[in-house]
Amino acid sequence: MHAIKRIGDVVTVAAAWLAGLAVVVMMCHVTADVASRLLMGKPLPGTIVLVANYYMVLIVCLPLAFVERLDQHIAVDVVTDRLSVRLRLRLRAAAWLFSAAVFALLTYAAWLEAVDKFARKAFVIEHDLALPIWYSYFALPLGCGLLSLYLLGKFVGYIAGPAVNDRDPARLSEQENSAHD
Amino acid sequence: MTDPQIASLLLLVLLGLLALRVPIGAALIAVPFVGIWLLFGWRPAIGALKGIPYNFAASWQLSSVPMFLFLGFVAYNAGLTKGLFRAAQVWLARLPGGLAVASIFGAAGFASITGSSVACAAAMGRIAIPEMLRNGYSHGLATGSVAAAGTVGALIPPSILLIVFGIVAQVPIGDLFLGGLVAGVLSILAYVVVALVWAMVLPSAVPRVTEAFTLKEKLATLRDVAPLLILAVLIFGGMFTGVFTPTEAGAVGSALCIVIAALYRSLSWSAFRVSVVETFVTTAAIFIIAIGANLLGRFVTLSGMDGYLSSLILSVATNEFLLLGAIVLIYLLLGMFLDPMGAMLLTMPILLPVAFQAELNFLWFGVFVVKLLEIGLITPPIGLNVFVIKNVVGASIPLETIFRGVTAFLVADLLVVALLVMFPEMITALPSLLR
Repeated sequence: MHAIKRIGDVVTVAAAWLAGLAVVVMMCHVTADVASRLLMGKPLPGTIVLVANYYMVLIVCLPLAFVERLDQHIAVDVVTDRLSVRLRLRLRAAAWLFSAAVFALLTYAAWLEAVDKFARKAFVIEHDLALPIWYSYFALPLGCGLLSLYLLGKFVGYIAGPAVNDRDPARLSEQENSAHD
Repeated sequence: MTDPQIASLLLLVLLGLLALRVPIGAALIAVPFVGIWLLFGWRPAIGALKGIPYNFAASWQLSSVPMFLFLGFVAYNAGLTKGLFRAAQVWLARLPGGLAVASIFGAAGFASITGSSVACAAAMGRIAIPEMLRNGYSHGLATGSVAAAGTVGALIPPSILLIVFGIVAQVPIGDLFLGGLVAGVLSILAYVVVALVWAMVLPSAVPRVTEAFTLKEKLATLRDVAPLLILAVLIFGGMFTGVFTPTEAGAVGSALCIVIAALYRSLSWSAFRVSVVETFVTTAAIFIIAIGANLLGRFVTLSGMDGYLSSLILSVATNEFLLLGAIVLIYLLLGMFLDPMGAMLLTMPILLPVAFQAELNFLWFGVFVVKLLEIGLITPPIGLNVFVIKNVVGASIPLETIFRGVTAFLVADLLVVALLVMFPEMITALPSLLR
């Protein structure tokens, strides 16, 4: 169980670092494009396609599981904060399972789309350049699939008991506090 | 049951899921999917899931979101924003309520480089509140002024909320930024008036600062903030005059900010790494909700609920003032429970058709909605900015004191809202003038 958790963590963090790399490369690329346009009157070819279809897709999709790991997916706490810790934890677990199912569905749909684009070798033409974009379609099922598995892991951890996932109320409120900081 | 009725029922299910603490993104993806499946079958439902999320994420226009976030995080984590309050303090301390006025201007300066209100309140709170308390300011004014001033973070450009509104409502982001700038400056002036009046009516609660600064000291503070302010003017000047697109402004701004921080030797590797992580975490958290809201919008249109709800709302709110009153109420209520981005994305699919039918100007409507959402950040029981300030001051000041301190600023906010309603040209004129 611990080995699976560790593998999950490593993959989640690796995917997040790719997204981080995309942030930095996107900044450099767009800045270079502006400099080239202003100084030499000629923008870099393919900037818009690379930004939209590659950097953005990577930044949005790949960190989804990492965001869950930090408990940073936005949710409404007002109502549940008034419940007992035990009930709150049960609701959290139910929400993990529910979200895991939702993102599994999204993974399935996004996978169908990616396979479709792969079969057609989808590309975009910018000026005279044909830029393949089908690769980037796989980022969405990858990111959503990871998130779904991560959520499922959290749920299984809850069901499997305190040995894997702390069910101690004090630890829960500690966790929640650190998530709010 | 008719289609719009089924759809309305599903909206209630959505609210139920949110109340049970299902993440907003997951709930917003699940409900429209089930809705489209129920009304039109499996294929269109899967079709919506196949197409919408990727197309939404792969957006050139929305790429300005991570770039502006990155700019704000780098500026903050490298400590470039630290000098803002100090500079305002040195120049304004001798005014009545001078430190509160300084923290309001400091927040405005911070807002010109970051697009988030909560970040703005947190940053200014850590620096300005201890200084005000040390000088014997009343706890209410010290905390209330910063909580309120932080709300201009999402009005003064860059503004992540305005960018996302612009994409959803198809309004040019540059125009929205100019409108937001006007509303932001108006709010700042209103808050300054509150601080001045507070100091004059209750001089005992707001002691005069006697510390005098020499001209040399005053000029020295400018050296610390000048690069940041010049950077803001360059980026937004370039954007408003059409030299940069919003994405380019954000990217070039981030790059220049890194260069400035490197020259000042204030950007450590760990500050840089934290900025990168905060950027993609915030971007992904926002986008998964935005993707869900987009799916909800598709479902609302397909089910005919937009027409149904619009005519329902417009049949109750028979004139423009009633309608705007209802919108103010909706956002103030939602703002009490939801974070601004969630509240905006959740309501846009329903309220944009209403605004369209009522022939409201979308540019004005966007700025108006963001101003209302920002007010929601300081209204009880859930005022995110107030919580942030509470987090900064710890146990020494109770939550109620902060909410009480905010009240006077809330009155000023409602006056600003009234001004926006009575003189909508204030928002719409500047972009058309510059065009």
